[in-house]
Amino acid sequence: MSIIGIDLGTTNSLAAVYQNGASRLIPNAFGEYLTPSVVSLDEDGTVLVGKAAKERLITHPGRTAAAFKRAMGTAKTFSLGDKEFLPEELSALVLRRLKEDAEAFLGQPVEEAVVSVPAYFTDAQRAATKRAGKLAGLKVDRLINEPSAAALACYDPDQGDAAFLVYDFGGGTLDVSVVDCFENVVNILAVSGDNQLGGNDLDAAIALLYCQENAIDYNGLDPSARAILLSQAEQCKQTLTTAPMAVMVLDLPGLKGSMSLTGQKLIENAATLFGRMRTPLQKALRDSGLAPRELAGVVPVGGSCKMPVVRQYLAHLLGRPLLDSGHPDTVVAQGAGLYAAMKERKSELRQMVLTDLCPFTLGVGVHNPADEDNPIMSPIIERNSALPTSKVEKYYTVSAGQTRLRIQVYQGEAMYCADNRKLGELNLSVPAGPAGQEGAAVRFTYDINGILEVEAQSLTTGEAIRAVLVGQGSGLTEAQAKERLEQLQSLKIHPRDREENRLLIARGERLWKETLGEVREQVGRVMEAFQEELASQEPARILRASRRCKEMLDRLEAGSGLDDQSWDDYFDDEGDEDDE
Amino acid sequence: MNFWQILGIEPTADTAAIRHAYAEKTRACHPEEDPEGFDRLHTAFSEAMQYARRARRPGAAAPRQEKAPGGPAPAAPAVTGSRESCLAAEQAAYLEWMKKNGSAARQAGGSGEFDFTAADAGGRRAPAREKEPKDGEEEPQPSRAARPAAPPEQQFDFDHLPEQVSRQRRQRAQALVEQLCSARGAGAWRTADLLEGEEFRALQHTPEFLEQLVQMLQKEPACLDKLAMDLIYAYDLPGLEKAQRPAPDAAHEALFALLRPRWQAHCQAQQEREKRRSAGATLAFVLGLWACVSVSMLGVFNTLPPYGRWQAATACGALAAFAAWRVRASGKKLSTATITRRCFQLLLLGLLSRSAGLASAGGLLSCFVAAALPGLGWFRRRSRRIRLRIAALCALLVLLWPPVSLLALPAPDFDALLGRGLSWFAMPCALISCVLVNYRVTKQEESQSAA
Repeated sequence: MSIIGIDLGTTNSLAAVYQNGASRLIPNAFGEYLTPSVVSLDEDGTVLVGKAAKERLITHPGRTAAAFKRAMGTAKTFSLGDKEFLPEELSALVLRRLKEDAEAFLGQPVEEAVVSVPAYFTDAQRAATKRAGKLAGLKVDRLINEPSAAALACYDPDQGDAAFLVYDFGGGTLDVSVVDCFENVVNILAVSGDNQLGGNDLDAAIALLYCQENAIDYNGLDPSARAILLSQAEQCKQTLTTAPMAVMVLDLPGLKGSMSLTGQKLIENAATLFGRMRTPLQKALRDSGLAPRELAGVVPVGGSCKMPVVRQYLAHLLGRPLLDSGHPDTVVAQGAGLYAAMKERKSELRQMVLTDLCPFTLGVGVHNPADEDNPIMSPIIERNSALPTSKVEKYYTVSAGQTRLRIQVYQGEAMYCADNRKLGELNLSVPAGPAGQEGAAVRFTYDINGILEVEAQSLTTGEAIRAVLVGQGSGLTEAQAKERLEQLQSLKIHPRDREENRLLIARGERLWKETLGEVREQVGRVMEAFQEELASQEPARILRASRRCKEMLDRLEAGSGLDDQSWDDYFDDEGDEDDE
Repeated sequence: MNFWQILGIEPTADTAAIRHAYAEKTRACHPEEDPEGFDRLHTAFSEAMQYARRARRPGAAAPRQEKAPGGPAPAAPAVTGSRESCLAAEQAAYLEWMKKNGSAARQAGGSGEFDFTAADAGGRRAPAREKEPKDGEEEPQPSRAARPAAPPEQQFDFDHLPEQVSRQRRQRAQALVEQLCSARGAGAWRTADLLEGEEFRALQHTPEFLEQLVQMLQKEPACLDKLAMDLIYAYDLPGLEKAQRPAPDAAHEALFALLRPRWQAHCQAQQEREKRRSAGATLAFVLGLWACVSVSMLGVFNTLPPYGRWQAATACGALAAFAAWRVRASGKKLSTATITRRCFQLLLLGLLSRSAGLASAGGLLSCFVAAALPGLGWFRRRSRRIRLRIAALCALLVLLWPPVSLLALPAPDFDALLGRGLSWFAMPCALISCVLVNYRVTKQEESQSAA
């Protein structure tokens, strides 16, 4: 039984598995590798995941959720219709879909997976990702950092040593890693990032610009109109990848207007975002201790790195050439697939070693003599330490006769504990004595699975306590969590084999909403005819009708319109079927 | 076992050799199988690499190079040293360039690219901008990933990016400053809202915002009046003044120059208010103390003839009042609650000794001291053992006092009975208070974390 590698992205998710000496991507029901990370709840209570759900983002914004990865690890809930979902529950639905695809592809059940997360994910976000795996019925012991996965996929041991910089700019997060590869070792030197910056921000910037130019109040738009605007902005951005100029035209009430966009215009108007894109690069390079010249180049990863503007910006910043990473969209999943095989200890990959990093500093709070209510952070495991690692520090009592040591565990880079994230707390009893005589050795062990174990041992009595700190949950008790799991499992998921027809309906609804006049009428007629065929419940007829319908919608969306001849064809064809 | 032994090589500054040794050793302790061994190995590897990197520093590399021709120093580190030192210098210069590039300090006409040759002290390497490495030996071997992608056809202008960032920030800053200015009429809560908002936090320390804020404050003094105090706290001017730190940069200094007189005036006004208030309080306190002590002393001196008794009591009162006044003048602060409590205690003591007589006054005084003790800072600072001893002493007094008072006050008149009753009441009070304070102080100490 194989372990699969999953890239759970903000906009798209995909899975890969190691087969015959290479990491192979797993296609979904449509034969595509990318499954949009969008979940929608149908009116009858079934859950739609992927492409069909993405179409419904415009027609049913109140019943559809996207970009929930950004809220991972928080208690923010998304309401789909009358149901509330936590981000990890929505992620679990996406994972479940990927698992089904993988099972169909491999022909055997899949029970374990390695999931990739942004390197800059905090402990709570990682814990939420693991919970999502559990909710989806997958064993997720191991998470891999996205840039590390990308580095793993890019490194070819036969080609010799190289150091490079992985710039993973996805839909919602930005990660930068400096990687040193030599003799089958992939050594991550430094990690940095911004987990609130991604391609979505560029979309929003374009949408805002459109609103500015056409005097529309962006904040006053209703969710549906905003979704249309954002999807158009995304299309406009994607056009810029291949063309020097893109034009954005909307002809809907309240959104009427047009705007032309060039790369240069985008740079000028999203200058702040470009500025934010630079900071992590600088930090990672400084932490790595490498000069730009020592890097063979930059590996652009993630959908947003396909944009020429971004690629050139990277080359400009680093003065190094961009390296070819294959497909920026899928390279992370491929790396995750490789890593899954490494975890299985497959013989072909026995020699490979990946050393990952702890992206944050972990430490305890200590007494601050200047301000007693504001303890100082004393680091034990510094950021960018290689995993697994185990470090120990000694701490002593502050006042005479003190009998208890309170060990508060924090994660973060700030000097004062109040500005860092608290992970947990331990209390150790020590014998009473003068200040500074009694103390404890505090050992932090951060293992390869990203689990932090804290052990405190009294220096004189040898009494020890230990605790395993996993990220705090979303405030749910054990019973509540179990209840939610049952609820989630009771949700009907749209059957995989009928996915295609559902997508056509969703797409038709979106087109109807986006268009006006004659075209809208035509869309309506096509859909009406298709629904009728669906109701017949005859597989052969449905198959033929869906093929027809898809063709018509393609033509309508391309803007070529339908002439009388095609209408006749459409209905004639169906008439023939009726005769048969 | 030092880190060279763990790696199984001789000390060297050759990074390639260290890497090779590390790669060989990882086969034996793979992170999946032997996490502890791997941790040890990786630590050794990092230390060794750090050692090798020390040779990069220009200062460390220079003497090594001079020694190389004469002495038997190994050749490899010397060569690596000079190359590595170039790279270190290059990195420093590059980071410097990035910083400058970000702060929009670059001249508009300047070249948009970092000049890699400038930092190259050895001057032996080809400029990084050239796609074909001239010195193939030193250039890292390109891997599969290292094939340069086809260069994008369009050319974008990133040179003005810092200026654009600055321009956008200026627009946001202007909007915020205008909001702040117009909010002055709508009440203080609105200003506070703005100053606690995301936008202000994001822009607070940017030079663009500071510049516009200063301009606005200079132009409209009414605005300055309104915002001064809020801004003082938003920028933590009191903290800076207290620590006597200078402003972080010129832009902050310009703002602080406007705010500082306000803050000083505010401080002065507050001090004066404080002084006025404390003068009144002192007068009341001194008079009160004088009266209390006089009355108490009347009780204490009840064996003296009436005339001398009045004079002695008033004199004692005046002495106590004078001492208290000196204490206050020297700057030591006593809270009003403490003063009132002490006065009442004295009054009670005086009344008691009047009825109980001079002989029992000593015992009562010790009671009083025992009751007052736990409230003192001095007592709290003692270690736990000493505090327990004092509590034990109090307990002993509680046990001893009833028989002693029975012996000392045999006369069964009403005053004596009252005094005795009250004094029996005082001892357990002292004991309870002692125990309570002990408990509280111990708990406080426990809750403090280790250092």
